[in-house]
Amino acid sequence: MNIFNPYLEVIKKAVDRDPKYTNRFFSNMPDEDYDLSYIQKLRSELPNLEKLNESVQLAKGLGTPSITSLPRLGNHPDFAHLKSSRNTEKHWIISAFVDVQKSTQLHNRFTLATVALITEGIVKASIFAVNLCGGYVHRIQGDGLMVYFGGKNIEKGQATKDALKAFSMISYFVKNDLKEYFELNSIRDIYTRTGIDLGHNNQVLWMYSGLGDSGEVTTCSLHTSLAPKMQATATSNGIVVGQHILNQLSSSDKYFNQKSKPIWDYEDGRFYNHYDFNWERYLVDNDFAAQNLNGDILLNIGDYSISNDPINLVPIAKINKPYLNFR
Amino acid sequence: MNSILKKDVNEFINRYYKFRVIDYNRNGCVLIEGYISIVDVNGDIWSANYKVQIAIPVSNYPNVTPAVKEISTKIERNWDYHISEEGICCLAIPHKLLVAERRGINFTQFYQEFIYPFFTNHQHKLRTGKYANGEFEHHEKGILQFYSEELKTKDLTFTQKIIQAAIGKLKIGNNDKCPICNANKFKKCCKPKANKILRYGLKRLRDDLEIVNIELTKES
Repeated sequence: MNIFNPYLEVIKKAVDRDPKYTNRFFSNMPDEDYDLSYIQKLRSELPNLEKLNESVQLAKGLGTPSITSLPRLGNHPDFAHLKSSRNTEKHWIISAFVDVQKSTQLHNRFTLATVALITEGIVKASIFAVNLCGGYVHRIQGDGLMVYFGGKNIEKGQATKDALKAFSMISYFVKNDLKEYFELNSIRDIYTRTGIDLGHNNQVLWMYSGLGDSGEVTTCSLHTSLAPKMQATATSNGIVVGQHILNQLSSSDKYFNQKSKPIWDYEDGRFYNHYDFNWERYLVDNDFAAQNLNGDILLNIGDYSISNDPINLVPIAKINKPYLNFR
Repeated sequence: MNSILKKDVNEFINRYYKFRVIDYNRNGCVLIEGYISIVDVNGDIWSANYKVQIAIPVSNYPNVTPAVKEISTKIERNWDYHISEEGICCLAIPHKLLVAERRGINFTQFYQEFIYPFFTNHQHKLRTGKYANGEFEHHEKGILQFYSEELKTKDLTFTQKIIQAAIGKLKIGNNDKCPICNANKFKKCCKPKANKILRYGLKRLRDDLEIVNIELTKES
């Protein structure tokens, strides 16, 4: 079972039923003329908090505390006390940006309602992955997210691993589950790009930015600002991380490739480097995913093997007919 | 290490992330170590995670047969599981391995054709009590079973004659009446069968002929 299936299923239904897509060669009808009443029903099929908890239990094991409510955006729970105050606080944080690229081409194919549902599905799947891994969604921008990992009750190293896992899972969802389905429907080049960086205590200032209720608890940090710059340098389905992220991992060589140009020049002879992150290797190496016969990656969140049907082993198993020649 | 082997090993470890080279020259072999997870055709992941070492002979690559040792002891050390006490896996009947060796292997392809299916089949046996495609009997009986299936016959004398024809011990002209099956032309009946088994190489066929001869003697 794939934990992203509930999201994928709703997106599939929306695409399959979209009247503009099925009539695209014959009609220039405006969206208003189509009956799109089914979309509301599909929206309600996207997993809610209850389903999120079911997935959390499956992924982390029975007995895992339920998530009773997701925190409000723009109000990191560990720094919520700064809301509407002039106080500031220095504390490390991992900032990350992810968005779906080339999703605008969806507008050429589908009605606006379907595009909105696809985007909502991707965003909800991403929020699910972030929350599953202990992150905090700070802001949603269309089909992109700004996310924080870390806080006052977690170690930097653990938060780093959580962030890498969450964004690897999101990249996996878009690169594999979603893309495979879109390509079947002649929609190409949908992919994510992610930038992640860590700012240490003396490099991150938490503050309330805005006026009255119109504001958010946010960070002022070079490293929060570098994360979207790194995102812009990422390849299709790529994740780019800053040097500080790399430093948190004990065995990092096999996962990271340094980019040729530094992402930041401190103008005092020092440079800050950024790295392409091989998230597929990371997922497999850390048992968050397994590889099949051909080396394709499949997420391995939770143990469902008891319900597996051996009939599905047969096409591979029957290639082998064992013999014994030992004495 | 020759360049083809180097290329093939790199291709493999860059594709299967759970493997790494632990020694480039262990007793004349490249030694690779890693884990095999079983994923079925439905994309479902099975809980087994086999730790294995694979030794790929350096000299003569690609005309070699890699050896696989299961070191996680997830496979019970019992002949019924086609594994030695030390964990050496009997991946297939030697004839299939010989064909691959003589043709020249690509290591990734070898992994997909012989190694991964062996472990997938072990999962199948654990869950259902039997191998997906049956199994060969052990030792000489397995060789006789192989020929019986390959030549689609239960007649051991027929098998003997085909092997003799393949290795040239029984000389038959292409257009001669076939002394094996009595058909009009050898080239149209039994020669294709002799050619088919010639892929296993003369040495293997001579050994197999010996096994067939002993069995025939026993029967008589």
